[in-house]
Amino acid sequence: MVKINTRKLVYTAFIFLVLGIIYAPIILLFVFSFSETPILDVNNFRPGTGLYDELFRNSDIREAVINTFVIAIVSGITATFIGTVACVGILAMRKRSRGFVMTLNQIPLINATIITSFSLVLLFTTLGMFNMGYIRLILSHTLLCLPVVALVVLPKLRSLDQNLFEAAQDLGARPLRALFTIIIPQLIPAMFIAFILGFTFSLDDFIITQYNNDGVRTISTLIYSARPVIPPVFRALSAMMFGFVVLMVIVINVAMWRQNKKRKKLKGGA
Amino acid sequence: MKQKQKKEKATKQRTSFRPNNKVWFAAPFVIFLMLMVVIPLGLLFYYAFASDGGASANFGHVFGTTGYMRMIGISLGIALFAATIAVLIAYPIAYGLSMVGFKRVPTILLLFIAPMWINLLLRSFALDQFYELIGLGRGFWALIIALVIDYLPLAILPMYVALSGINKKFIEASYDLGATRGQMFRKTVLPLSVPGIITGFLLVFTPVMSTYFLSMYFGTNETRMIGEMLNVYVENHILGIASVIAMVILVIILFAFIVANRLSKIGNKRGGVW
Repeated sequence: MVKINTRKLVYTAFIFLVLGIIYAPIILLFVFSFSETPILDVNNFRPGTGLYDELFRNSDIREAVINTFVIAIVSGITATFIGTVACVGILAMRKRSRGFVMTLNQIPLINATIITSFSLVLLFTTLGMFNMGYIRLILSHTLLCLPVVALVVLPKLRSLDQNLFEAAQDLGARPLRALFTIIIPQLIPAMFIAFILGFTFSLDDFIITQYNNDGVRTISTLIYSARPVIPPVFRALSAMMFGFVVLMVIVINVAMWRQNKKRKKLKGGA
Repeated sequence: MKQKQKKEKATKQRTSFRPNNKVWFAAPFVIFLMLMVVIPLGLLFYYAFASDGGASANFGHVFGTTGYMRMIGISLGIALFAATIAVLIAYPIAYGLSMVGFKRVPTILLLFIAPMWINLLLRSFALDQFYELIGLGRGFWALIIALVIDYLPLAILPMYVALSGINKKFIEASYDLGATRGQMFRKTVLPLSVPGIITGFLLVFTPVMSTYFLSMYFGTNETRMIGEMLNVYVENHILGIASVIAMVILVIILFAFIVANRLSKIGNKRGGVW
């Protein structure tokens, strides 16, 4: 018993060491976002919220943050919706065509992002879509989110009782009605996970946005154009994003905890 | 005989959706992928052969310049090295999370993924400031650490899935047959987790092979990677040569996938637990 505990301790230490290395720079920036010095200097920490004042006054950054989140949310929702509806169709396909569609779905996942982004540049150039940055970004970010939706939702859909859909149709529901009243409600947890993953990919993306923005500014393009000397105000932005991450982690954890509790209660009652 | 067929048909209907008009629900999805994946990749080939100076000029420029060949070699080397390190760090983490009995595994996995919500550029900016503070200058190691930190979650997840899917009875059986912990790991867990290792390796290898922002930001002239070259041509709208470079990267990635496929097949053939 004691042996197992030391083993667990070693793994715990290793996991938290790696997490520490990953988070150290982010936390460092968070701490120094409350210092007004132009560079990070441990010996010269001048506390103050000057960087935050600057951040909230800066309309360029505000616009970029709004654009980034609007694009991530719109393309996340679009992809989740198209992908989920498609899963019903994919499951109804014959084995061969299903294999073909799933391979097609995996190409953007496997392919290097820079090649995907560049091939989209070629597409938009060929189609002559200029000065349509928003549409280009939403289309390409939808593509970024889509593969993971099918991968998350399809297994869940397969585990549902397939007869319910048929039953609804036998009772007179049209296929679309049956889809929305019977299938989709049961898929909502899987759809939520798919949306969060797509949202993550979209927020993190740089290359696709850089190549296809066509003048629309997002967080990525704003920092890219500020290089090589990135102004200290971005420390405050990093810190805000870090705060957002911490909040999301807590929210998801509470949600998981509550669901577990509910499940235990149900089990106990039965 | 007839009855058997009927029975088979009945089970088939029960276990899968009947092929009918539901197939059309996939239409928007398929059309979208055709338009956004297949046609753009086709355009890549079209531009490589037909734009700017034509095929011979485009291909000649890329394959005739020794600097490019060197960059491709460097990219390949860095990608192999970074993916190996990422796998070596990620494997014990995935193993610990799936085998040692941690209670809050989803939370820990979430902690590994969460930094991705902070934009890549903001994260790189943070890392750069961190390097400055600890006195690590730009160059090979700064680049490798940045790459490994960024792509580590992509290596952890598939290995965690593979390891947590291993039937615990195999492990008990190997102990019952008198294996030490080392033998059990070498002969049971390791072979069964090979597919996860290969997927994790590829998920790091592919983006590193084509990276350009991180190598531009943390690298030096000695570590120039081919993605940076592609970026220069894209930004200057020289689409023909850019297409040829993209094709070269595509071929390398495709080759890596074929090798990986072979490797996991060999692993399967060796098969068995002992």
